[in-house]
Amino acid sequence: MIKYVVKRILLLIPVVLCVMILIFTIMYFVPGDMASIVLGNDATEVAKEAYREKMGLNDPYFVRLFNYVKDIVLHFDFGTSYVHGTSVTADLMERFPRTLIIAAGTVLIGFAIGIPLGILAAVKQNTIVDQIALLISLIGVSMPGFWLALMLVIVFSLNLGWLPPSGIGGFEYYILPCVANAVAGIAGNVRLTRSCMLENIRSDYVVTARSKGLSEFRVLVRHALPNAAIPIITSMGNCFGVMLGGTLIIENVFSIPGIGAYMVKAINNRDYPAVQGSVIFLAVAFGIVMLIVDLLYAFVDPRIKAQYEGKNVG
Amino acid sequence: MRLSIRESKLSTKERMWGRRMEKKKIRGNSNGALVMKRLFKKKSAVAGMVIVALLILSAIAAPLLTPYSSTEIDLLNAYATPSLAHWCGCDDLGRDILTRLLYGGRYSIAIGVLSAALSTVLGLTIGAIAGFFGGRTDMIIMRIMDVFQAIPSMLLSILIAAVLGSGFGMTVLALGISGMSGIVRMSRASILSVREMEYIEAATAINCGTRRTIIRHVMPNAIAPVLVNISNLVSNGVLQAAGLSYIGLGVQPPTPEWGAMLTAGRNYIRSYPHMVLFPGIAICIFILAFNLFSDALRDALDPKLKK
Repeated sequence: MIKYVVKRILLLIPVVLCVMILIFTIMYFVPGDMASIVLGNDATEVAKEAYREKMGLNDPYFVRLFNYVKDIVLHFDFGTSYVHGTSVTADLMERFPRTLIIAAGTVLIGFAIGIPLGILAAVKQNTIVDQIALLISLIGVSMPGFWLALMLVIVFSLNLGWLPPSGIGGFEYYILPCVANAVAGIAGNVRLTRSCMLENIRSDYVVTARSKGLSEFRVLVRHALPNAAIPIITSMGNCFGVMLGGTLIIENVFSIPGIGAYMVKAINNRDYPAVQGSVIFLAVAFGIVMLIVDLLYAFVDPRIKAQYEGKNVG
Repeated sequence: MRLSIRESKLSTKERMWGRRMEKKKIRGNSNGALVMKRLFKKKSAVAGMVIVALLILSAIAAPLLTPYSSTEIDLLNAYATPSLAHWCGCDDLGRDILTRLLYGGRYSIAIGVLSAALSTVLGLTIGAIAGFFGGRTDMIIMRIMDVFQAIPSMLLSILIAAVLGSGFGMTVLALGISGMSGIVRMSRASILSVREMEYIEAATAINCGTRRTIIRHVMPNAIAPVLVNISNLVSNGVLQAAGLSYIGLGVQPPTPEWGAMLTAGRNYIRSYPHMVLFPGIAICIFILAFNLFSDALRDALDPKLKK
């Protein structure tokens, strides 16, 4: 098992490096002269040239790429924001917890509601309960998250006045963003859980479990669910990716100063080191989540465990 | 041409008819026809297709359906709430929202379809190259796709849109590129599995040329599993385009794209929620109808259901 964990962690390193190279390369081709953006168009050519020299903008592509990646890997330094002159790393670290809270809250709500609802729909297959669950989930995946967020703001903040419409503060500020972002995830999980459970509910071992005289609840939770869980866990990583994407936009709806809002502001200000830093930061965070999901998957699926343990013995 | 004994007893007319019927019978039993049959049997699929078709038609025929212009400013009607004259009300410049939604369908639906088409063309080509050539080519392509897939698709769309700039074409390009890697992966896997099939061996055995094998035998069978993914890309494209508009990267406000309309209305949600409500409903209806269709398509293509 340890062998698998180590192998999986080592595999993450080249992917992260390549992601950095890819993003740097994409950003490298952005048109526009950085010196003019920072110093303004009125600055003298001498001043601009001095700035380019100082920031290393005159260096060839490979030198810049090498320096950029080296700074991130060795010093965890994403460079300096053009517009604010602050360290991008410090900005990102300050904002990351808020993005993380929303993303984690979203995933938690998505699974806590989606999976039980999916099981219910599978157990009551082809009844009215099933139909309603499917219809709701179909509508859920069809809504843009940020539109739902605006609608929730209209109802719960502007009309009912129960929850704050924007900003950060206590726990209540995160309820609307998480719920709005989670709806698509809930819907996706209902559909996935339902189809996985349906596959397992009809299988022989479930019939055996029932004929042993186990209660229906025990049959579902102890026998059918663990087998249905494997594809659900596999989808967890992708689910997190989708929700991370949603978070970037939801943050802008609720004016939450997380990485998404920071990145959008940076894009509008043409603050490229900040954009580049945010994208790489999020991509690496996503990579780590995928790693955790993979490890979880290996933990749940005895076949993977057996494969590696078998090798150790042999 | 030699005729069979049974056929030679018939008149020319009868023979022609018989052949046509035979052709029809063969076509009626093909895989594509079976899929279509199953698709049309499902009520939800038909409903989805009808709604999507209606939305596309109404977008094309928008000038015939509405007496208003999508761009003309009418300040007397600014912020008008829904009424008989303006079913969905008017926006901050007095433009009829329903009219703009009809015209907006042209942009929103086109973005979804074109970006999915772009992803498909890029993805199928690259996936086919990886699948056919295998070996080192395959490995290099798939490692590059791994890197693309390591970035969440919305993040990749935002990044590419930020680099390319905003506007209709750029949005299509950004969404097209970010949707590509999934199609590459699927089409490669599907081509690899088809390549091992007996009917490909049979085609090679009867001396069928490589090009003909690829076009007539490999592609049609390899595309089916990818189809569902493509239809998902369309709805995903519409949703992501709306998201890009919201953060100021997609189609820009004077264009009546649904996401851009929604974005333009967000500053007025306190007093005039109808400006945000209706564009969102338009997006929902389109995606819902399209999802109904693609769900049914997935079921119809599922080989487990084959009799």
